[in-house]
Amino acid sequence: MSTMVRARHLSKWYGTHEAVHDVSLDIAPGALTAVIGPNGAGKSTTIGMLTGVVRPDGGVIEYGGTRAQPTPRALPRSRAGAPRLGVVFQGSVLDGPLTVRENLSIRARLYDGVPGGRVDEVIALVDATDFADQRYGSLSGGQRRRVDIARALISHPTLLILDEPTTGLDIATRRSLWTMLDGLRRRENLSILLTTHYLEEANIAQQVYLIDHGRIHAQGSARDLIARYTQYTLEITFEPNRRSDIESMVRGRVKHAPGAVRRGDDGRGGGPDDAGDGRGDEGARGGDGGHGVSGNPVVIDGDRMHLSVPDADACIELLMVMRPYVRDFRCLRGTMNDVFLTLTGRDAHGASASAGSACDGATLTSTVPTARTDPAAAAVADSIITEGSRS
Amino acid sequence: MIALTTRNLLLFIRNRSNVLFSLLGALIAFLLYIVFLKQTLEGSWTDALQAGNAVAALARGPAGTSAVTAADPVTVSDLLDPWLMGGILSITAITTALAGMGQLVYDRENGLIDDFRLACRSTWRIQASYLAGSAIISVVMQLIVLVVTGTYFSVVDHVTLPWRDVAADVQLAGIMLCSAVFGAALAFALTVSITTQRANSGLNTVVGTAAGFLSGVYVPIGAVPAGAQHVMKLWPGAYSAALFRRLLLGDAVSRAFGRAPASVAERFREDMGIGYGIGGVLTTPVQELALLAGITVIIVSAILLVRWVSRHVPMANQGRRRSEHHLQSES
Repeated sequence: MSTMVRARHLSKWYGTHEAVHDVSLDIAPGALTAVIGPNGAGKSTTIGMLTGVVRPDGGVIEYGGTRAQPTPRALPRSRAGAPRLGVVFQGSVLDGPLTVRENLSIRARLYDGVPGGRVDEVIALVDATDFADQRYGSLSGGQRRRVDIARALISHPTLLILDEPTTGLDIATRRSLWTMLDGLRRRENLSILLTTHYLEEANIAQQVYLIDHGRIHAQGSARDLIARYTQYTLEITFEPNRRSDIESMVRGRVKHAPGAVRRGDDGRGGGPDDAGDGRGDEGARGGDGGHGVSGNPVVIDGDRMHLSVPDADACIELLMVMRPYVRDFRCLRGTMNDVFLTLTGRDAHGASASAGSACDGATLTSTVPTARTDPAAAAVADSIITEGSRS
Repeated sequence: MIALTTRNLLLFIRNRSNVLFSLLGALIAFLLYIVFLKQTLEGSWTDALQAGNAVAALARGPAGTSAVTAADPVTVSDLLDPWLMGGILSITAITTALAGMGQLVYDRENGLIDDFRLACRSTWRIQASYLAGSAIISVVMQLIVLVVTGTYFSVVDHVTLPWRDVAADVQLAGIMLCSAVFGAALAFALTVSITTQRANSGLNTVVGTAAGFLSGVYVPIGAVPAGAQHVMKLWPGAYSAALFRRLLLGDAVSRAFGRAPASVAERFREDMGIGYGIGGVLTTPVQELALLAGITVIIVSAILLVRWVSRHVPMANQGRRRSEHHLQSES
């Protein structure tokens, strides 16, 4: 089967609040799919609908080609073609006073036909052998998560669904969980769907859905999304006495617009059905009135300059042109937070765009070009900034 | 289902406060009795007892002659201690069943029911595990209370209970089992709308106190007004108390008032809740068992029916509010 789970136009209301609006997802087999969004975005509600715990108010869910009722009563069993689901909830559902082994044995016996050795198998799969006989309540957060995952693996699921599995854990523990999940995916050919509000977890996923206020704003791999919705930030530290040269080079490029990164003059954003091929259209670069950075501010602050460039090549060209004046530089790729910012106008962690990203606000004052400015270089720099790389 | 029942039992045992808390109702009744209740009751019955004992002594004939070997004089303790035990066992049956059912509230509150439903489709099996766990806890706790209070009274008051009588033991076990099962059913029905730990706490407190009064332990049924008596006769625990009392007392009542007019013994039984006056006649053990079962079934059915109706019969303004966690709501 090409898709394990296909959801179309899901919606859910709680009273007068629309928690989920027109959400469509495809969960591909053998891949890790991440649904990413800030708190309150509707992730848990969406997952609830997919696992059958929450009844959707609208929309359809298909499991392996079999259309489930819009209100599935319980998880689909292993009907032919339908995936077997294992679910790890956000809160823990295991019992503190019981040991890991006791907890898993009891859960194993709830299922029909689970062989006796399965409990030891899943304990080994999640590397929990060392603390298998400790009381669940005495384990650390990361250890508990492993046991939660083990619990979900008892029934040999083909699709593992996790709701915010790494919330509340420190970065080292999160990393080890990611490694474990990826290992499970590859070794056991397990498909994984997880929700998270940690944007960087997009990097571990093959497919990402960005959700906010109950709507999907974008989908694709992390790489695709970053390429499509963000630009590079180039930070140049220049020779202090060359400031005016630099300023004149970028004269006219400064805008006071808030730092919205626009893909092009048509102001196209992204959406779930966006079939865009990636970054700026190569063909449009030639002369449609300037794509890429035309709306972006160049910020000069002391002896540093920040600006956005559309791609790595533009970055290199600009650096070559400015080479005599450059003392140091940094070229930063966009992050998922930038993607989020582009799509929603908000920082994923709550600050709004105008509240200040590093490159906000222009400080340049225009000056008369001095004789030291190399007009040719200035022109090249100018055109690079305007139109992106020539190559 | 066995897996879940085992889980419920393990969780109950490993939580010390659970165990203690469940016995609170019985413990309080016990302490109240020892501290002042016994003396209060004694006052009512001492005269009748002495009269009965005097008559019995007379019947024995003058010292030295032996007509009939009468039994040792029956003391107040012989009458009241087993009577109390019977009442306490009745209280224990329901309060411990309710305490055991607390796991259901916790599981409901924390989404564990959803988790069980993901694995085990049958709601009935899940519910049955709570009922079974509750009933088992109730039986075990009743046994503990029986042994502890029985030992206390044997040692302190030199009361002899009918241990040796195998038939009585079997009957006692049977009543404990019935009380446990019906207690669990009642506990389940009472817990059906309880969704938080706090509410559950409140329920346990109310039921623990009410059980003491309704079983006629704190105040014997004979001492309350007629209206209250009717209410008490509607409480299933009153009948399990009567069954326990009758068994534990054995023939003590007859021996105590044997030589007194029959009405004295009758009055004792009726006032102290060893049989209830329904339709002018005291209930028999069989009737009491039937009433215990019947009333429990009626209460449980009524509660579940009301709940079913409120859930499935559409009300005005229901609109979008129907979309709750539909799994949770059905456990």
